Amino acid sequence: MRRILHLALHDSRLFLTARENFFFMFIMPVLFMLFFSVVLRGGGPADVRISLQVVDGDGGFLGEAFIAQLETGKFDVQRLTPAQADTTGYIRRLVIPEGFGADVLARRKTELAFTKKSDSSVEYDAAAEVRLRQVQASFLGALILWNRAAPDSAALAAGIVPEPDEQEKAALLALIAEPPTVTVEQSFAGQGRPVPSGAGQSVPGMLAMFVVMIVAIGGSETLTREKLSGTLARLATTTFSRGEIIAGKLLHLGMVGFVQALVLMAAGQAIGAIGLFGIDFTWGPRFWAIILLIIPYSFSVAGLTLLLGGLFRTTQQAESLAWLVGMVFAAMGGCWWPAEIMPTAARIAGAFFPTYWAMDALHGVVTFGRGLGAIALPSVILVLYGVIFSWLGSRTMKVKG
Amino acid sequence: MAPVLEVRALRKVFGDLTAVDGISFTVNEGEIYGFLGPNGAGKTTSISMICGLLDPTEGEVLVQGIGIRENPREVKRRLGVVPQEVAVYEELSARQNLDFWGGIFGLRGGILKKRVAELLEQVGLEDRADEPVKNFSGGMKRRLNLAMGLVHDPQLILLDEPTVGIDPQARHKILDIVKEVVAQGRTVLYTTHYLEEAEDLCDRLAVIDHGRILAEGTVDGLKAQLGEGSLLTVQGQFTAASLTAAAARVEGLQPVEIADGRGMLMVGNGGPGVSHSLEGLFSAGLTFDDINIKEPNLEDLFLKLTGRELRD
Ligand SMILES: Nc1ncnc2c1ncn2[C@@H]1O[C@H](COP(=O)(O)OP(=O)(O)OP(=O)(O)O)[C@@H](O)[C@H]1O
Ligand SMILES: [Mg+2]
Repeated sequence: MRRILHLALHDSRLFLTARENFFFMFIMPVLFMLFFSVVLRGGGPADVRISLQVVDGDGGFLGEAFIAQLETGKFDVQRLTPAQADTTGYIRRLVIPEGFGADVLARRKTELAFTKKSDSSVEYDAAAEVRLRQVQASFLGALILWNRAAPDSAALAAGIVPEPDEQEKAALLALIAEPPTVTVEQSFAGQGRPVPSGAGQSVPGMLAMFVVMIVAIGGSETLTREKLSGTLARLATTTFSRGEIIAGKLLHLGMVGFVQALVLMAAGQAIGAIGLFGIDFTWGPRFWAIILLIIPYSFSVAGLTLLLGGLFRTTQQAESLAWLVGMVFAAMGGCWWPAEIMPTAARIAGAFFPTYWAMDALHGVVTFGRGLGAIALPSVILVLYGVIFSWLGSRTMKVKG
Repeated sequence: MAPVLEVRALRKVFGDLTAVDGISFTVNEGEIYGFLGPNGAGKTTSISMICGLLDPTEGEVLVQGIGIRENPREVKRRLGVVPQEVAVYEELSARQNLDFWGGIFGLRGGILKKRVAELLEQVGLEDRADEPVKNFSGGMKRRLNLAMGLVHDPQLILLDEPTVGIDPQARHKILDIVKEVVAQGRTVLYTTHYLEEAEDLCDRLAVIDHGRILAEGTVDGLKAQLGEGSLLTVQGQFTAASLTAAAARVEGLQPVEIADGRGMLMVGNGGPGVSHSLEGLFSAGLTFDDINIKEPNLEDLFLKLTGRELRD
């Protein structure tokens, strides 16, 4: 074991003498973590205005009043004329029909059409629907309080609906601007899992991503360089067995991953504690479960890197392909966005990546405050990945001449 | 006492190429044993099998009587390997390289420190010991490459063309180090395709080509295989057959290597002498553009054995 440690520490020193590795390990990931936390700040749909495209087929005062009501109801409205609507893409869209204002004033039935694209977020869609009903109710309430007399039947028969005057318009808009008297708080209940968002997504995401990026890129590059320089073969002429050399490599790579994860844990906690840029984050009371989790996670990434190092023939390959592999692992594992919002097929494919299981466990601890229960299954799967990758890696890695 | 190195019928086949074709030899304690052969002769392949980097197709390697297949760790502990291609950590300094390599062989603390300082001085790198190796010249890297093979003071040192591609001064430095190490009682297997090195350095040597040992012995013994005397080299407008026929009629003149327009002949000591031999050839009607008379060397032996020049 001491012999293996000697090799691993030597490799780690080599790794850190490459100055770019130092930068990538200690500075870059923290910057990324900050950046993404700021960009994705603000948490879930409860706090944010939901974007909604509104096609205003009415074009009159009441259409405008309804849009004002939507804005009061925490929608971020993008208003389009029917002509524009044909050429513009959307995620969620509400269509105000032609003659909406006249129908309302005449107390006739009218229908608004709400559509959403299938790839929109389930959670935001649900929130949007709840809010729409609330907007509808508020709007009706405002109309009742406005209490404008219905046009007489003679005028109606003649198809004449008198426009409200300026004073009446102002009265309705004032009613709409008032906060609703009754609100509905919407959330996923019980076992239903909310989608992690904001820093709760980006901090664990950056942790999982940078462990795989740093170890795979830096590690496979050092391994390839050692193969090419002949130092690896030279090592095989010493009393070290092939198994010891491979174990030394794995230990080194695992240590780099572990340290990288610890650095990011500390950075995430510090950013959250200071409240930098208003970022609200903590690993929570069961952070120790994460320290346990990053051991098997680092092992799986070390195995992956050994495999990459065995496959690469040039350091250029290591730099470009390892980067690509890291990106794919990060994307598929849900490091950039929650796996929950990915299409089903992508989510199933994601489960084949260690990053997915790391993220699953991290969310379990951070977002749901779970402990051992959150990391047990992912850890077992990660160890399994580590064993498979290491086995493949040790078969591929040519230590001898 | 068992020889330091004993190689028995060693063979290595790569696909349909036989790189090493059943070589056997022994190296005794305190000896420098040379492997002289051109590019592709099988020198590196042999060294790789001796140090356990390649598994032989057939044959056996024993170091101080211990088989490498049976007990690789005990054998490797006794070996210092200096590969043909410089294999050092470029980002680290010379001292860090040696520290690590010493650590690999279990040297620690004060002993390691002392040994590393000693070696740095021996190879003349003490002034630049703490600079990254990537700033070193080719000759300096070669010296460090050598030092790394010596750090644990091994019984048997395998040197694979340790002077390739460096200037004569740096080469002499390396040859001096090798002689020093042997003077301290160590044993060396030294591969080269430089004839002068082999003649200067080796107690015994094997001439190898196409994976076979063509001749083996001391430098003098090998030269004697050409016969005692002077070597006469001639060039001109003649056929191989006419020169062979003419030479056959001169007593004491032995053809070594004859081709159209070119011939190498040995004029034996105690025979009729060089001028008499030349007269004999002239009287057969041959004319020469160039005539050269010299002491035979290993180059000539190599040419005799293979029909090729040693260097390409
Ligand atoms: N791994 C290998 N696979 C296939 N052929 C090989 C391999 N290694 C060496 N050879 C071949 O075996 C032969 C002997 O090569 P080797 O490297 O032992 O020669 P060498 O005497 O060391 O030559 P040099 O002076 O150029 O170093 C060559 O023809 C070489 O191409
Ligand atoms: Mg060679």
